Amino acid sequence: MEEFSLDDLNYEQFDTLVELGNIGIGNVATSLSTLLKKTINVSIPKVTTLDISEISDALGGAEKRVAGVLFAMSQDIEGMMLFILEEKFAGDIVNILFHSDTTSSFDNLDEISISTLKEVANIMAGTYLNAISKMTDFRIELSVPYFAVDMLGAIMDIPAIQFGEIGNKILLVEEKIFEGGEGFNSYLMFVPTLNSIKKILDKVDGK
Amino acid sequence: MENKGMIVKVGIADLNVVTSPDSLISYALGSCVGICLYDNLAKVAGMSHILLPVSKPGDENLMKYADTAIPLLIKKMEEQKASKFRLKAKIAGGANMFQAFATGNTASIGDRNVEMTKEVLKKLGIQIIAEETGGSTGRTIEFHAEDGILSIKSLSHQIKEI
Repeated sequence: MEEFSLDDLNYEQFDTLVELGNIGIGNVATSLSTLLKKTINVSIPKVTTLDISEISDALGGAEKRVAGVLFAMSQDIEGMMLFILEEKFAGDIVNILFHSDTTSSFDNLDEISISTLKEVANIMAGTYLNAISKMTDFRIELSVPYFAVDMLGAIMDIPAIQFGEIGNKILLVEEKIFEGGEGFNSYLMFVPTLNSIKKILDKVDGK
Repeated sequence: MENKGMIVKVGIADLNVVTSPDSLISYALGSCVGICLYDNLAKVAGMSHILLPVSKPGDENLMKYADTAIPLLIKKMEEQKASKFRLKAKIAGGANMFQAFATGNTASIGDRNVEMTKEVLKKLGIQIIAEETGGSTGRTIEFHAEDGILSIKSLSHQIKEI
């Protein structure tokens, strides 16, 4: 069997991944809007392959403090989903859901706020993967959410490891999430393993 | 401000060597480990930023793994007139960013990176004189060829020098 590598991806396959991301994130925007009773906009998905060495700079600022909610994917598709929340957006989610205006920074995130953010991320990741499941007929199971607040670059080590085990490039399907008119640089990342990317592409291309 | 020389960046799966008065920096180490070697006579400093503990056959990127990056770093330092016998090590990183994620009953990747780093340094006869490893926080590290001091910055603690 020929070894599949990220360098082999052609434009059509990139388009397929963009389309897949589009379907996933479209559903997420709707469910998040409903949950927060606010207009949530999302960008067109960006599918990028980058060198592992560039990963911490890729999302703008390795030392930027963000919240990360991480899920492992298993069953037919393996890999991870990673939700990166900027401070302001995380605070807004908590404030809206609790009808308060006290949570403005990561410094005063209490246990309940953290569970809330995990749950919101859970809903988003679940919605996203449901859409992808429907389109591909693959069963995808999500782990419980894992939560961390730290430097963006340090959190990005986790997807870097997944790809580093098999090569020197990483593939990200990333969507930027906007609240109202402002972009807060929050991202939802779909990070299947190399094998799973191949599986998805073969399925969608009808092989 | 006085001129403290250049600051050279070391990315993930990357390594670099500088001489005094220059410095090396690696941003936001999570489970990765930053391995800093110093020859205090030649004032040559080297930094390696490894992602994984053990190399895979066929992978040409030697800078990615603890077992292959350290010998390569030493070689590059020797080209800058450092002596292997004077090298001392300081290491940082190897955190577990998401507690309990995908670890099962094996050690976290951060722990394994630190363990392998120590094993390789020991085998090469290089003493570790300071370390700041483990935990669950990301770290930015800056290593100064002028004096061999390693500054460690994290979001939850003040800058620490080791």
